[in-house]
Amino acid sequence: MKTPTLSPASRPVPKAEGGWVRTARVFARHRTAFLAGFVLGVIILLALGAPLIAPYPPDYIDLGARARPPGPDHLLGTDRLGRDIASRLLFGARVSLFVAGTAILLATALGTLVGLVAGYLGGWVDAVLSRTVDALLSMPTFFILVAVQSLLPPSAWNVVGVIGLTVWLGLARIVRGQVLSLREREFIVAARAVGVPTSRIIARHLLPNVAGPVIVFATLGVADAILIEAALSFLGLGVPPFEASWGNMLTDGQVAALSGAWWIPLFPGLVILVTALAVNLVGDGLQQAVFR
Amino acid sequence: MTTYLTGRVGQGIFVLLVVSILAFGLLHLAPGDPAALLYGPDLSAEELKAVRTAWGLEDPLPVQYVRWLSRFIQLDFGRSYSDGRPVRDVIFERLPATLYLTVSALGIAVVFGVTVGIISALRPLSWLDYAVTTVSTVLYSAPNFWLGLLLVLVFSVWLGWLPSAGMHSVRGPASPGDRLAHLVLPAFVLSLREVASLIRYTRAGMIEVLGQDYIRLARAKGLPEYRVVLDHAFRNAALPVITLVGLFIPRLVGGSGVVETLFSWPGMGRLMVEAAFARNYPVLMGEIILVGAVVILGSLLADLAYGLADPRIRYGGRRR
Repeated sequence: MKTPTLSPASRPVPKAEGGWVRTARVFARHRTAFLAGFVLGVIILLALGAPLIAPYPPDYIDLGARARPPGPDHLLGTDRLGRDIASRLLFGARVSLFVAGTAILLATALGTLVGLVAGYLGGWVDAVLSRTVDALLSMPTFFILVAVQSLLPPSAWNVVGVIGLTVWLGLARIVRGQVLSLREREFIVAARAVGVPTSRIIARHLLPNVAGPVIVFATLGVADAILIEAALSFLGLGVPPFEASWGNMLTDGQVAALSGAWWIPLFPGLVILVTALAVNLVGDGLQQAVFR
Repeated sequence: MTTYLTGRVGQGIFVLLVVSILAFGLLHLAPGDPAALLYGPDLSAEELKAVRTAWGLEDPLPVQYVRWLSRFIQLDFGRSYSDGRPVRDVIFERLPATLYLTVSALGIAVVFGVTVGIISALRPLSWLDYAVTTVSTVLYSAPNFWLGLLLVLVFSVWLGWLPSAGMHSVRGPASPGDRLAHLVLPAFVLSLREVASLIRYTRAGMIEVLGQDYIRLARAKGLPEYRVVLDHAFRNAALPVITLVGLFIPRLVGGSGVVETLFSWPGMGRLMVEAAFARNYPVLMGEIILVGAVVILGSLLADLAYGLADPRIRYGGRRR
């Protein structure tokens, strides 16, 4: 999993010219991450090719084959309505991956920007931004969900909105915390003293130094987003039931599990686990490649 | 410092006011009629209207908000739509259950997460570090309620060792052992993600700090290793840990809707889910404001803790 060569005094070293080529080469040498990237690629391809691969339509209800355990007809069994679990997982991948990716793009951009600006500028800018973050953080996810529901018709976009609007707050706080400490360091003071413009200090001096937490966050965040979708759908507040998603496949997994139908919650959960794990491992690899 | 604190408390009250306006407005604008949801088809349209009038929902929104605010200032949170009891009583009935669960989970998370993270960072790339990183990454990648479901399946359904729901047995005395048995699965499941992320952040921070020159100096001047690790290294690696614990604080009071629903735990998280489905405005407002106040307090505490951990961070003072 973690196979970097750590020198005793490993620190982010400024990269020489052609840094991205080297980053890519280091990443490719990182076998776990490369393998995880491969797995992720396969999952994405499977999601794209779902209509071609899936043995059954995702909503095909076979009342004669309800809650069947895995077997030759249904490789991963059927759910309590007799729908093929494997086919639903393939189609669910499209919804779940789309929701997670879109939401995290939104959240990462917003969180990093707000954290950098608030932490570096300080003063009233920090006060306004930090208090806004506090106000939004103090609103429970459910509340934001209800608010978003009132503005949009029920769809996967609701979940994108909810995740995008809640997840960036934590990143903004972490980045701000780092910047508060960084801005008193000599290299920042020196940059300020020689008259480097604020926007350039933020972009060229602070951003690379908070890139670590941001990368950790963005990758863990995609996994997070998949998990939040699952949790919201588990409570019946997420992606609407007529649209197969990994999350809402777990919804009646609780009842099913207590009646002994272990395969109904097991497979969607495993797929979520494998996907989130692959994303996290790719993130680890990227992180180590970037900081070489 | 006093000026700084006064300023922050003032800002906090202002934020709370903003939160209450946003929450009140959006809740009431969202679709769904609490009267219809509660009484459904039993009442005619006129009777439903009478119920809404009695609850004050037929007045213009600003009037409703000002009425809510003026009562709130007198610590009157209104009455729950579902059973007519004061919201204050409903909340204070649920709060202990949630605190009991969440404080246990936070305790498990900090003790395990920080300890394991430090141990792992002391021997980076050893088999132990490899195992810890693998387990924490897998834990972080799994939906916690799904792991909870599997744990219930194994320990409650198949083995019958631990109860799967509630805070204590319905029949028989609620002995300390019985309460503890009911606490084990939910507290463990609730702590899993926090354990995993605390391990990651503690480990990453410690590895970076332990490579610095002043650590080599501390070792060279003959300090015992535990002081090097705890006093010199951990203090400098503690910022992300403080941030993460600060982010957990609202959950202490707000609870977790998912875990409490999964384990039928009678706490604040489930109360919020129930109230959201029923559009029980007074209960929702009460919970939102209470959780909001705790968040603001948590943020202040986290900022003060940053200052303790890293004296380079100064508040309120002038730049040198």
